[in-house]
Amino acid sequence: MEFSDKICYTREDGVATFRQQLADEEETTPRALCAVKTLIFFLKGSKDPTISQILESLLEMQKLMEGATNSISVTSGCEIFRRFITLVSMDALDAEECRAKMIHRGIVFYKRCSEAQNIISKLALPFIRDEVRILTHSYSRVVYSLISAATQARKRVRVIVTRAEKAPDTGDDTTSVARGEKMVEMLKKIGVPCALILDSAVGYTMDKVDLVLVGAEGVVENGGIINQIGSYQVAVLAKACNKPLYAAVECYKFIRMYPLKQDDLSDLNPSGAGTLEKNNSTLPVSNPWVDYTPPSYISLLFTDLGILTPSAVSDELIKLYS
Amino acid sequence: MCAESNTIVPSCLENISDGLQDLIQKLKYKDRFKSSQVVALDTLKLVRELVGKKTKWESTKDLLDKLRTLGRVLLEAQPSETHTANVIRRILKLMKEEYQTIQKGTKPDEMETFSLHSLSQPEVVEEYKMGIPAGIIINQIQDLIDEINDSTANIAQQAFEHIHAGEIIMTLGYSKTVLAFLMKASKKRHFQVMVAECAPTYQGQEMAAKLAEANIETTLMTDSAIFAMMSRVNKVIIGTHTVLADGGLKALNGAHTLAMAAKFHSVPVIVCAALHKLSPDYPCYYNHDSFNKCVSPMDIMSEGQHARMNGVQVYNPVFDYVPPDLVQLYINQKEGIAPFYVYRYLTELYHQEDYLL
Repeated sequence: MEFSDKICYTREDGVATFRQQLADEEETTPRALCAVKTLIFFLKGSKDPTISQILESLLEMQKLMEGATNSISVTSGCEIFRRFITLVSMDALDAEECRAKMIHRGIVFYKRCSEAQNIISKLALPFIRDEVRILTHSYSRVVYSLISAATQARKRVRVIVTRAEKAPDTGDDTTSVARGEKMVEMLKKIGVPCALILDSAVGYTMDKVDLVLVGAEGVVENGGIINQIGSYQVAVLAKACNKPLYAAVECYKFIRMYPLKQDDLSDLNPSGAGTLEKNNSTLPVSNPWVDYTPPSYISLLFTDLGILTPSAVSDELIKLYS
Repeated sequence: MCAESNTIVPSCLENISDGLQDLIQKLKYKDRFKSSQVVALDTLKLVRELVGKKTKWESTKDLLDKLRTLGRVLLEAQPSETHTANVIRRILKLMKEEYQTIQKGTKPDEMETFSLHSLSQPEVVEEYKMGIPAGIIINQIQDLIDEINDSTANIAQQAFEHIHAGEIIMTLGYSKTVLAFLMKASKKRHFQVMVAECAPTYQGQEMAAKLAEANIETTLMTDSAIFAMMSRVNKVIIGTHTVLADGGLKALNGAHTLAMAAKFHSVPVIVCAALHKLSPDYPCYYNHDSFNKCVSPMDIMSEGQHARMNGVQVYNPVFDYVPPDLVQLYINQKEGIAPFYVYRYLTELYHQEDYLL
């Protein structure tokens, strides 16, 4: 079993393992699950004598991993993980037994979460009819797996992908990375007719598609989503052209956050202006990484808990955190 | 009735085969049902017959599977009549709750399967192995039958809160629920009603006649006059065939037009629909069969015209989809709710495992 071979004894070890996993399993495993796996390895190697110390060091580990990659899904995944492994009665057990129990529950949690993409594909398949034209934003593993499931079900799907440029996660380097290109590469491999467009061409292309399908990095309390920069634009245009917008997202991305406007995401975006060197002059650049799409633009959320309307999300969160 | 081609009844439902055949014939060959209650009640009678075959069911799972098969057979007979499946889902949920109560002696936990919370207890997969006495289920079925029978009256009770004196109300076609609603309100309030006749069935004419008999000032108009008259209207009150899981409607053809005209003039749209009309389906294309039903184009064409319509495709759908943002209020037999709140009733009435029979 994949969990038995790795144990992290120190925090540095943990961060290194995390980075390693991100590099190796970028295509298959979402970042949140890499983080959860690292936490499990860390739990195994933990020598803390009391439960509260274990939990504290898990929290520290989570903060370190958040620093290593700027993705809110890591935060939400770890929060839910920590909540679940402690949601069991541990009154009459000593620290060692508790730790073993927590590891066991952690593995169960991980297994259930790795099934999430398949469950979503199954539930959302009826919404992808034959000969549908889909617009998607940037690269999302869930959207990819849904489209590939539709292709395997012998449906003819045509996909238009936005280039979705964004500044890379780490460093002050402002050269952009076009995540949409990666999506198109992967879709081409499975034989889906697809096309890449500029983000600025979304308005022009909106009439040519039937529905818009996006992934999300996080789902907030009111049912809105946080996703790579450019998603909000796509959502507003979809609403204006009366096209449904569906967000496919796993359950561990539900966060306890309630942004009211874009600025409330300032924690997730780089602060201050960057610079761009061009022709011997320095241009000021502002490159946020994520934006917030309010729930009024989202028709339905495809999650592994079922198909939800945005208003149903807060109920799910309450069930989780009460 | 059309050809007596009998549907093949699954072996587990053989002991109710006569009743089942009758209902399937009705579902397949009747164009439009006057009342959704009839379909729901017929289904419940069948369920009661099925459950009553034994005094105690040794394995609840057995009974649950039989009910699911029944639901599937009825849905296959007529995919657009979802009331059959809805009442069966209700019964399934009630049975599961009873089972939990009997087994654990306490009320079933609110946090059921498939919530985030349940991720922490994945080992609990209910097998329903124990038995359950039929008497309890028959009581539940009777309660549900009573609820459906009383639903129109209970919805009409709420009429005084929503209709005020001097208002002009617009409605579409014929709906028993809306008729009862308006008649109840007319006992104490004085208002006018405009009825769109709703071609090609012209059900609106019957509605207007009945309203006039109840001494309500009624105006009958053509469908094309809806937009023109909308500016004078205070409220739109319509019935519906089904309420979908996203809060949208599957209503009479013409309802979407009516709702859009209402939105343009900022007129609130109120929908009177009993809870057995709530279906866990979403309006997705793949289930096109279950969404719309096309009936005979002869309704649209006049005599002698069909010979000349050789190259023309005539399309006569029965239903219309109304998106949830065009509706302001749903009145069911308990209370009035907003469209985005519909999901709550879904989780309350149906078990998630039964969404897909």
